[in-house]
Amino acid sequence: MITREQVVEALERTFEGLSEAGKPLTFVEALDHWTERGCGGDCVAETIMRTVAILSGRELAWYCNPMVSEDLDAYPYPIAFVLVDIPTQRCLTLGGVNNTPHVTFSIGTLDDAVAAVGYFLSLLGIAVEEELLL
Amino acid sequence: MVTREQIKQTLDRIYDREYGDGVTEAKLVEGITFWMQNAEYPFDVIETLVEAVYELSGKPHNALGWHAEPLRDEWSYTGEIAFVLVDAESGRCLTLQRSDRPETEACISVALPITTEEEAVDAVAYFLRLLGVPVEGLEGAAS
Repeated sequence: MITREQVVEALERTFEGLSEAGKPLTFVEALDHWTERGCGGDCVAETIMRTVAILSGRELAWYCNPMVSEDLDAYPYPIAFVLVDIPTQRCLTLGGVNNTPHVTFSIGTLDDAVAAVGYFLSLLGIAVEEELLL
Repeated sequence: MVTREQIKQTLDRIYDREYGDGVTEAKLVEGITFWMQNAEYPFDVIETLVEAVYELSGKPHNALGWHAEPLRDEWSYTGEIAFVLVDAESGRCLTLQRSDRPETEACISVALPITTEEEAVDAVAYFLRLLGVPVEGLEGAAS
């Protein structure tokens, strides 16, 4: 059973390992940049998905699209995530009435990020603490 | 066998039907030019490409899942659109590209340049090939 604490630690550790130039010091700071200025969404999204891959131990591929718009009131912008299980090539985020391959989350706080990780882990059939779920 | 000319005609017919004013014939290349010159989100271009793939492949609209994102640099759109295409029945991601090299991560999107009519035709031909539809000039190409 994956706990909230494990996810928070993993998010920070994963973020530390990203080699993006000029990135903020911590994941929480990166979230602030994203929420307040609408920049660094790629970094936030990548951290979330790498954390899912690490905690699940599965061979995964993903695509993240921070949906930045001109609307400054729209912070935090939604981020679209597509998650694929590489061995089966199955798109795990496929769904909805239009069969969209992506799911969309507004990631504005650490709790939002933790909940997103919890959601993807549960898609992978990994048990998570109930409070992690969206 | 789908020909490039068929793809071109299908793209223009769909664009005219969906975005024309009913008086003068609208062509996809106008949408592409407008996108590149005005830096506006190219809904019309993306929708036209996707609709052409449905028409030419004969797939029903619930058979495929699409995600499309026009790519940007710091200032404007680059002219490339990233696509993720999923077969909705099997759930298989058709745009997944695995790497034989462990240091290279798998990629599930393809970024295709859509700055000219020819590139739009190439993009549709690419997706048709992914769906197993034979396309003129791509008969022996591996998917």
